[in-house]
Amino acid sequence: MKDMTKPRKGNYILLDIKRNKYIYIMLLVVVAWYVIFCYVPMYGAIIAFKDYSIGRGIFNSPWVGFKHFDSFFSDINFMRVVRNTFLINIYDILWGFPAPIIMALLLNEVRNQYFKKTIQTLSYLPYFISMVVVCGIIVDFTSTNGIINQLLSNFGFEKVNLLSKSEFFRTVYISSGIWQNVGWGSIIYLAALTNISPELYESAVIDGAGRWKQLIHITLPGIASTIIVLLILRMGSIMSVGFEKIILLYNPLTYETADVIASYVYRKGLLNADYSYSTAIGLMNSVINFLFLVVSNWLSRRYTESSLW
Amino acid sequence: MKRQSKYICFILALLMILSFTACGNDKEGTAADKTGTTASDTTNETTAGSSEDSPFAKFKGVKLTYWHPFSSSYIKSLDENIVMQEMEKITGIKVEFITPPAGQEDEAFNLMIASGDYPDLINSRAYRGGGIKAVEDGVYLKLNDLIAQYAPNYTAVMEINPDIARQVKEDDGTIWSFKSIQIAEEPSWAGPVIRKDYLDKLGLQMPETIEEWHTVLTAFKEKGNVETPMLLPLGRFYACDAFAGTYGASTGEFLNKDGTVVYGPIEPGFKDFLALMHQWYEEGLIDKDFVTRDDKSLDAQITSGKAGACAVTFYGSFSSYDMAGKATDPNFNLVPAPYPVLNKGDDVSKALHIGNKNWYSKGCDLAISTKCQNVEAAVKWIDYRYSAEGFMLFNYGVEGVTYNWVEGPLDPKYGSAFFHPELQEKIKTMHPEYTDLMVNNPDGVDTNTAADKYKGPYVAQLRNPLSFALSDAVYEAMDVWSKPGKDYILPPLSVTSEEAQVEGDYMSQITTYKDEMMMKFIIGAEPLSNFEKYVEQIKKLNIDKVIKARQDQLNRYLNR
Repeated sequence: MKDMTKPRKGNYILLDIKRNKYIYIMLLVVVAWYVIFCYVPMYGAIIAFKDYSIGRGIFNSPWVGFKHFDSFFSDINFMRVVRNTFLINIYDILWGFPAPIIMALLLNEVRNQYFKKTIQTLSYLPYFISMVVVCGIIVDFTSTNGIINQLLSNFGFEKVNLLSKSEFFRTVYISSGIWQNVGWGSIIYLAALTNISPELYESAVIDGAGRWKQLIHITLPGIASTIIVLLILRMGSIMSVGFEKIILLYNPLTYETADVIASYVYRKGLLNADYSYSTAIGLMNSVINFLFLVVSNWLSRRYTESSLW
Repeated sequence: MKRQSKYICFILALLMILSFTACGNDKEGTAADKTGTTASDTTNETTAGSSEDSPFAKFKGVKLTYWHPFSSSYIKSLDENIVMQEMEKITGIKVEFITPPAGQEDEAFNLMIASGDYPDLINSRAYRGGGIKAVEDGVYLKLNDLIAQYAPNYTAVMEINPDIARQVKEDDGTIWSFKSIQIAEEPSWAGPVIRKDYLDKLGLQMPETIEEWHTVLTAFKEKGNVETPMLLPLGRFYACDAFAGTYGASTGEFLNKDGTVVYGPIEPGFKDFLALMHQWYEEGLIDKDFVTRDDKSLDAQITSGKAGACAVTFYGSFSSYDMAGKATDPNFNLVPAPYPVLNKGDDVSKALHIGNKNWYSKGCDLAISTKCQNVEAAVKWIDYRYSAEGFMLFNYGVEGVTYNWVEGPLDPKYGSAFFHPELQEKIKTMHPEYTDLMVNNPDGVDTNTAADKYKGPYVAQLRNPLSFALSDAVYEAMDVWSKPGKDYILPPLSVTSEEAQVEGDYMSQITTYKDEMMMKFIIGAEPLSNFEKYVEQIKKLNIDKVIKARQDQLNRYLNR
């Protein structure tokens, strides 16, 4: 205890290690995991500047400088894939991000536990269905004689394959995404909601606040920090769209709105085994994502109380 | 209490570390199991039946590792394949198979190459830059001298005809793999199909010209109430050129027009094809959902009777279509239709130049890696497949088990032309006949599936493509579909790494643009008057450089 009150720097760390050595041992495992599986493989990113050949290996492949970046920037579809990637993310943040929050708030107001649990379980289900199956369902539902067209034709709309129209692609993509993720995404908010002290609600009731006022003045501020942290993290992937769902849903007719960086790289890089090329674009993507993350974190720290660091 | 929780803490940490390292060891262990065995390892357990004077006598107990993709609903691994078991008995060489996960073969192949731990034998997949590059990179062995020294059977097969000799080598004469070879021309394996029962019901003849197809499809739609008169699987097998081929164009292939390489989708005839498809799309004669149609729902359209015809089908699907189709409609009768011609009475074999026929050499390369310790054993083990006995073993299985020789000459439709030269005399009076294991399997599997266990795996062999016991519909299909020539189809070409680079740089942009425009032209989102602009744009995307590379490859091939 004496040392604790006036620690010299080095001593303090040593002492802390001594006192909490088992916690540090446990930490070691996690750190080792990150070093071995996340940091060590990063040297492989240098193949973005090389002409990688699997036979020669990472170090013996010849250097080519920024060739792969050049060829990406000069591609006729460069602007299109960047725009599509960006827009899909923007729309997803606009529509997809608030959905689980609303879901959690609604569930929070439900008093019947049996009903609440049933809804929760049902809304988790789509998250656990394999992407291939989900996309099979979507393709089926949106086909010319699919269920959506059957319904719409009752209201006088012409039957049309929704996935062959580029103007509908984002709508189909985002709305099915919400259906897939809304239940799962609401879990973290429901957890945050349980942290709000019931006393706050009790005093609000005494002050005469109704359900709506409680929601605005207690519940929302209570989970605001969770929302902001998740939003910052979401901003960190603004240039990424997973290619699985895209390539399962798109087709040449919807390239105009559906072709994103990831699907483009898939066609060009992976199908042709051009690893250097895909690494170069992946690297560029990561840098842009990182910048977005830093900037949104900085904004958040400046204007609100919560931030990642 | 506090002490106790400390101990718990410690134990937990220890457990975590232990499980972590144990897990790591486990992985290393299996990896070593897979790759650590070398050809020089010996075991005494192999019961080699080879006599002392056989060419394999000295290889008794030799082990080889063999990377080979395999998946079957019938047997778990190639260890259960009786041809492979027989090979072990004959040669005394124990082969250990390394099987990549089904569906991830390409990734697994690249990983295996990148790891530097090559097995002895590798069933090669697309090595980036081609086989010569793999030899230069020190992954595969150059086999020319080894074949001359140790592979008399393969050498004999190569000499059967100059085209075979030409197709097994690269331009510079390098041989880097053993290929699957057939010594006669294989019949066409894909083409259009149509519902004969629908035709009969409406009193229509089998369509031969484009005009007749139009009449038939219109009748299907208007009188027959067929939901989808014709399915149009544009990307399937890269072979949907039955209709584009009528106009001397292709939806995606490079073509060899009398020694000049052209790109099918910018040929003038392609515009006519697009005009036709657009017209048919507007009239509702082709699948409204052709853009999003996947293989499963395509099959469902056919078997449920919603579709009247399909622009291309693979002959292997006949039996499954038939089985499922008859279940819903007892009259279901899907038959092969001829490739359509422009004018009535045109000779198909002269008018059409794009059929789905294969070359003598089918690729399916089996390479020997530079890490192989017993090259002689490896070469001889592969060479056996090209002998008369090996031919019978790989195509028909084990005599007395899966087939028997019976009296009577072999019907040419079962591929007598593909038989090993040494067997040609024998098949004039006798022919192999499958036992029930193949044709009436006690486990209830169909012939194709039974072949997983009772025939040799499909790679590097002298092949008889007609040795499957197929239904009559298939032989009929082969007859009907084999009429078009293949003189527009490029032979197997050898690609230099510079040419591979050119293609890598330009082709994906071109294909993306081409696919997009092709679909737009068909559904009418882009007027056909823009076809010239489209050709112009593809030229801007450097198609000429790719065409030149292909032209060089073709010239080199012709000069081999």
